[in-house]
Amino acid sequence: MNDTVLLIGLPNVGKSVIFNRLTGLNVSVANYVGTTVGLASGRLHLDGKDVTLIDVPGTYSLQSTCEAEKVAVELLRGSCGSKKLYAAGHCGSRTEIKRETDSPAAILYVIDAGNLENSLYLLLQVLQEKLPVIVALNRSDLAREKGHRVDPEALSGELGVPVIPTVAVTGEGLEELKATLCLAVKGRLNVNHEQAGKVVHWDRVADIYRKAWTRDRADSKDSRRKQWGMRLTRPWPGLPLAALTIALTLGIVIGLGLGLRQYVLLPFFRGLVFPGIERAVMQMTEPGLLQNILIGEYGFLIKGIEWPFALVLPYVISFYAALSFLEDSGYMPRLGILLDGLFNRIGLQGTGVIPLLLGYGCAIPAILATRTLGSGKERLIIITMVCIAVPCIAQTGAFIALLSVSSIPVMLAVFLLGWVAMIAVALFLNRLIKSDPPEMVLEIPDLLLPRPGILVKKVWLRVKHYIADGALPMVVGVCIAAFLYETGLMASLGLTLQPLVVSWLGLPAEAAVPLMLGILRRELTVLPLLEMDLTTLQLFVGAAVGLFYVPCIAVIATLTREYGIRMALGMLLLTTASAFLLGGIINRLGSLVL
Amino acid sequence: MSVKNTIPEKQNMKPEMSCLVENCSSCEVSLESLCLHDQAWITELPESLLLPFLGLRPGKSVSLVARQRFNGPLVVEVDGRCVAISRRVAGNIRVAKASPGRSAANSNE
Ligand SMILES: Nc1nc2c(ncn2[C@@H]2O[C@H](COP(=O)(O)OP(=O)(O)OP(=O)(O)O)[C@@H](O)[C@H]2O)c(=O)[nH]1
Ligand SMILES: [Mg+2]
Repeated sequence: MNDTVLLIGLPNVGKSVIFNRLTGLNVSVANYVGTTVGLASGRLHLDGKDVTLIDVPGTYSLQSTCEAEKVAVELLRGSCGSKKLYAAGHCGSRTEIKRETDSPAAILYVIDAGNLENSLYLLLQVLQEKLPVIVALNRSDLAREKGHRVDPEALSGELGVPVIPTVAVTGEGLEELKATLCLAVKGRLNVNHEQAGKVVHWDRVADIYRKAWTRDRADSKDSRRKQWGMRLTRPWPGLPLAALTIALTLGIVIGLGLGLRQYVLLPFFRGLVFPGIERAVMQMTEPGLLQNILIGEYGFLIKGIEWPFALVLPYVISFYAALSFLEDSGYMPRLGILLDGLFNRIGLQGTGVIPLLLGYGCAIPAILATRTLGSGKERLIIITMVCIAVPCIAQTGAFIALLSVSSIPVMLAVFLLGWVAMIAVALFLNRLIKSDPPEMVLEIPDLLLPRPGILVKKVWLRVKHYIADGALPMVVGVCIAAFLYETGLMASLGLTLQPLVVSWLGLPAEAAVPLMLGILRRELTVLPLLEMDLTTLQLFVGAAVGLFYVPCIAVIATLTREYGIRMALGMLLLTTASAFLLGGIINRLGSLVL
Repeated sequence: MSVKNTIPEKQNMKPEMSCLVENCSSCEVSLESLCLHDQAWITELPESLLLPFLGLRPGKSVSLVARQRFNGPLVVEVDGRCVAISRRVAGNIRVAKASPGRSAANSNE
């Protein structure tokens, strides 16, 4: 027997919260079905013994009908190892999971106490495996609020395994859970395999449920939370409220970001940090190449700090604050349901809105989230939409920096162009690939009020990711740019690409550089344009090319890993071609009009 | 057991759609043809890998919470939880107005 413990349960019951609490790691948590899309593993220190805890994506049964269920079954039976299993974090972080060849030491089965009956079928299936099982009766705070009472002793008596009530978000019950787990992995748990012999059937589920479940208040009035949950799910007033929510989200992202940038970060860097750096560099170096590389036009001690930390970081903060709120409230699946009919027309289910929204933060989690989508066709459509015209938040920050001062209409036009292109691409692919329309069957989670502490933590995590995976490559990019510019290499590069950049796109020759850097990071196609005096038309062309242009290296790597090299190369080709084609056309049309 | 409202809400009704009417307690219809706020009991489900796990099982009481625009899914409430079901799938779920005796325990929502 090996030392792994599996976290198993229906989707959205709180497995990942428990995983994070027990291991101290930070896998994604959100209030909708299918947040966890890969396996995450972490060490858990029990009294005198260390075990590996594995967070398994939520499944409804063990019938091996979808990828997640197959993985769960393989892990349970200890036959896993055929697949590339890894944890999917944000922006490409991942942990390889070592191959498991033995069956696990114990199972931690997580139940949503407010959804006991539906949870029991999978539990009975798990009990068939005759492994030590511990049941966490989670979200018991929410169940209590609804007036549901689950009797842990009765349930434990019926199932023959320990049942421990928990509230994962506050940590309630987790110590007891750990203590019981410790007994289990040491083989000191009294396990009663009586249930394993019986056939798994809904009648038995109903029987156990009746013995363990009671209702406190006979006819409780719906809570305010539930009433709002319903309102947001109905077309009236749900649809107008959806429009309002989206507008409000955009407002918060842009407003909060602009405020942070204008009143906090820019004054801080320009007023305090940069003068100091400039003085220090002037003292230490002679005027010349080195000094120019450090603090000249592309001086990487100046731009290399200003771009990532003063221009982009504010939007990373404001975007993830808004996104985390939407994720944890349970609003995203509601939006998906309201929009499902419209999304059907472009070959998608409404739930496709979730990866698309994630894509406005970073394309990598968006691509990973497509794993939960029903069909390969839907996956392809979403990935193409995201790669071609969904700017990541860093690039959006760059657009705002480039365009908000000089011309708001151009900024709106760029985003509008992106949406039109996305719809056009989806319509085209939907025509191209014939298949039955997708059929939605989706559980709508309860609306929850996100906890401020959890939101702050989520935003902080994403900021940390951004600094490691976004800001540092950006500094390197700026460094390369400074070097190319100051050594004159930029000019000769501009000369080589002149026909494309100058004649076709109508941009200055030095705009060849952002095109090269853009492969490294998306926002680098846009930010260098800040330093060039561009006309309105040039701004629009430059921004449009930047929008459609290739996704960054990390995205290409993720695409290769998830869908193979052909998909990655296809996207590279498609995005490059569309960027130059559309950029050139806009330039031609624009010159005619203006 | 009283059903809150069986009056069709015009905004969401196609004209030819028949509601489950009060005086037809033994009729079986598809879930798709319920009116908003109608309550009914599931009698028959299509072969489905997901529906039973979301609480849609024979004998369960369901009520129609919403009918989405643009030919989008229906939203039904089962045991106090909401599930969205596309119209085609809902069209294959049969429901009856009368409670089957054995599920009395499930219906006091
Ligand atoms: N109030 C309350 N909320 C909880 C509790 N446990 C989890 N949540 C919330 O429930 C939601 C789902 O939690 P996750 O940990 O993402 O669920 P999961 O089981 O990992 O879901 P999948 O990855 O989709 O299988 C999150 O919004 C959590 O904040 C709890 O005990 N009480
Ligand atoms: Mg999870």
